[in-house]
Amino acid sequence: MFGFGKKSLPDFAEAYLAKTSSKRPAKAIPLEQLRFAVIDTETTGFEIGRDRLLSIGLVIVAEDRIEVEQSGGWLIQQSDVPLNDAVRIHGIMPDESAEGEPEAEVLKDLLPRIADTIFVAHHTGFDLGMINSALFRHYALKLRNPWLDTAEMAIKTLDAFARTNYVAQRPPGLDEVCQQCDIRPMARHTATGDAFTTAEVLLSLCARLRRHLGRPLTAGDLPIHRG
Amino acid sequence: MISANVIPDRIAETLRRFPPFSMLPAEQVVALASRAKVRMAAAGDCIWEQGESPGDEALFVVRGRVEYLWKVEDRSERVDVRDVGDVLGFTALMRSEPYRVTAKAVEDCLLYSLPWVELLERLNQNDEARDYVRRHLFWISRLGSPVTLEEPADSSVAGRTKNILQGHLAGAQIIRPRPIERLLTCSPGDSIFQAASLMSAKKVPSILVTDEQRHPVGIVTSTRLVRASIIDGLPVETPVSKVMASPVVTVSKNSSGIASLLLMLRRRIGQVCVTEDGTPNSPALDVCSHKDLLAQSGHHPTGLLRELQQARSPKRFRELCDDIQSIVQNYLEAGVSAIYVGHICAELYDELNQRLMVLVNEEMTAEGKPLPEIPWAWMSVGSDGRREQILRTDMDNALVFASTGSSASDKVARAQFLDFSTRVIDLMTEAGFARCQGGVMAMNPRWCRTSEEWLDELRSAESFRQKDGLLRATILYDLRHVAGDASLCDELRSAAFTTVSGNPFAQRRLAESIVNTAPPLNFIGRLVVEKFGGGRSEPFDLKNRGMAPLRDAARLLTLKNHMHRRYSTGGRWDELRRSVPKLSEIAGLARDAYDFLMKMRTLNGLRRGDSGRFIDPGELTKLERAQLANVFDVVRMVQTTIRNDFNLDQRL
Repeated sequence: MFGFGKKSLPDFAEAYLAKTSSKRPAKAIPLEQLRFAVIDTETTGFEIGRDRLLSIGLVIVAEDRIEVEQSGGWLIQQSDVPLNDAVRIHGIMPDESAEGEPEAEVLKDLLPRIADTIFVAHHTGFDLGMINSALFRHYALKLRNPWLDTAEMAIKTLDAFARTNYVAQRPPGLDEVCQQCDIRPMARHTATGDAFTTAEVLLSLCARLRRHLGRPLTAGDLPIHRG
Repeated sequence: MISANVIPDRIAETLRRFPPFSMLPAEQVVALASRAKVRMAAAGDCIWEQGESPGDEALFVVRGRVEYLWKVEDRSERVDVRDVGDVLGFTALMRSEPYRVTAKAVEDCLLYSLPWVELLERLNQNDEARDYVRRHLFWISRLGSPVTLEEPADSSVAGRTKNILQGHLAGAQIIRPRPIERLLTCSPGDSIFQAASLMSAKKVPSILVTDEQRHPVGIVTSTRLVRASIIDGLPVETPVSKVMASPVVTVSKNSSGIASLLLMLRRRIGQVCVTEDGTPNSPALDVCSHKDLLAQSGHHPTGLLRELQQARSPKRFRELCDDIQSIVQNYLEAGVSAIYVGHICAELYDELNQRLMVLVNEEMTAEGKPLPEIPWAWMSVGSDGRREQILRTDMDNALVFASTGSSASDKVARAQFLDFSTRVIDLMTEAGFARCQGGVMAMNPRWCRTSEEWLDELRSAESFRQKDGLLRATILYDLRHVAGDASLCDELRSAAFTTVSGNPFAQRRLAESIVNTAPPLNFIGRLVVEKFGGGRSEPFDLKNRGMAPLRDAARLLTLKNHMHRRYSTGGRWDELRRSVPKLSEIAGLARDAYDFLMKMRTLNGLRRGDSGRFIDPGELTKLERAQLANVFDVVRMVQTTIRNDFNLDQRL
């Protein structure tokens, strides 16, 4: 597949690639048969490539339900954690990060859990970018999951965020969407809590869309992008 | 993975705010939460359809509201509502049978789906939680299907501390006999000198007289000894059998402390004997005085009884009544059955009434206006008669006197008795009792009559033709003798029973009044949810819509089954439960439901300083709300029983 890949990938990465197709799921597949991996990351900053992952939260949604047993998070060990604005928000301090697991180990644990799922985040570009950047550093690998952005879905589903012609319109933040969907965020600004809240947003948006369309949903109804 | 996972903790936190999860150990709830799934339903979504089989999940409502819709023929009827903190699907899961109703989200809902098998296992390990869930099954009676629950066997009503509705409250104290060595006994042939020496050596105030099998045959108290040897001057060789009190009042081991206390109150005795089977025909185990039973309690109904007997001034009566009220509050808050508390209050208030009558009698005699020398009796009627008047927010009484045979002298006598009643009632008012709004008082000529007048009224079928007559009749059926000549009351009581027992028309009228009110389905926030129409936000009338049908049904069913022994609603249901097999299950539930309502009403009244009749649904806790919803289901079952028993669905 990657023609230039001289050095062979580790087994767990091969297994991930073998299981995961980058194609969008067929439009007719019912929502209940889709499996989503809802991800949130906390980082040392907002510059992909330079900043580092501090924690990852993962919540699995299958059969239109959050599976608590399959969900949780990792704290990641980073040697150099700056005390900046980002850290002030999530509050993961250097000494706490030192308690975490090595980044390479966390990624190795993460990959099989998200194989063959649709990657979901609020502002997917950032979380996907951070994880890809780390994966590439350690394993010369990028995720290939099809993906869905709950911010984009909120714009398409909720009247309050519908696209206007205003040029500076920006996609709604997680808090704004929660307020609109009447969701009380769980442990905001922790990766696991935000991943859970994002998963609730996903379920809520699906429920609204179902009511709006007046029929069960299929993959074709959701803004899923090719991986 | 996975470091400190906050999700199960947060889910468990939410679950534990509501029963039955609040009744389970915290770590078990976290274990359940870690196996939870979370799902959403948009307003209008069907969560399941009638006829579907339940999966393996119980759904906890985190946010939103769900209605149960029952489709019969072409109609769809709302039979219940569930909202935040409720669990959906208990009934179908418990019985492993298809859903009998459709569950429809009427608001956007967030639901926690919990693995049923694990949940059931944990519920089964916890009595309180299991009882709570079993009560959830009652609502199914709204679909016209009977509910049968396997009840834990309760050996004696007095002894049972946990019933289905009180399960969450710790029961009343239970009498546990102390080691048998502590029991001081002698035989009937022993001399009073020997008895006194033993009592003095052991420093106890009484000695039990027993036969060879240790069956109690009598009891000798220090007061009795004093009277025998000092007042009556009996020689010290006199056998105890000559002075002992006999027969001995007995209770069984493990009977309720409160029930025993009540027995002592009523029999005006200072101690009861505990025997193997509760009768004097089994070996004695212990002798308990009220001090033993109430050692830890500062208040002391028996003490109050003595105070009442000695008080003279209106101010003192008022203080004593305030004390009674604080005892009531303590007892109810400690989880004592409201039915028992009602009995205790009735004894105390009866004593008060008797005392006031003695004082008024003295006063009138001193004024040269003594009562005529004819038999008379003071009666409690209505809730007083049923021993259910716990608070002083009402009084219901009446007077009967023997007819002299001439209407002129009856008129004179009536005027004297009205004077008497007015003075007694004035004193009661000073003690804090509110006058009866409906004028049901012995100072009212309609409630102060000769026995002939009463009997005429009671025997006449006319009373059942008008609404007023019906009301008056039901108040009279609960008449109870308080003071004066008891035989006058007995006569009236049996006349009332004979009339109704033999009058199907009267029974039918009474039955109709029971099924007339429809209890609500449930409460949502401040709203009362009715079967038809939307919710209404208004104070809820606990008395009319909850207690009245249970109270009237107990009275009617005992009349129909010729049971005249019991006065209180609780006692009537108990008797029906024991004596009428086909009513046994419903009677047990009805008694518990009535007890619950009476307690809720009294505590509400104490809190608000009124009769407690109206409650604000918004102030109910989740548990109270669920319990009330179950009580209404019991009311509905009782109404169905009445409808069937008296063929109300067919025209006469």
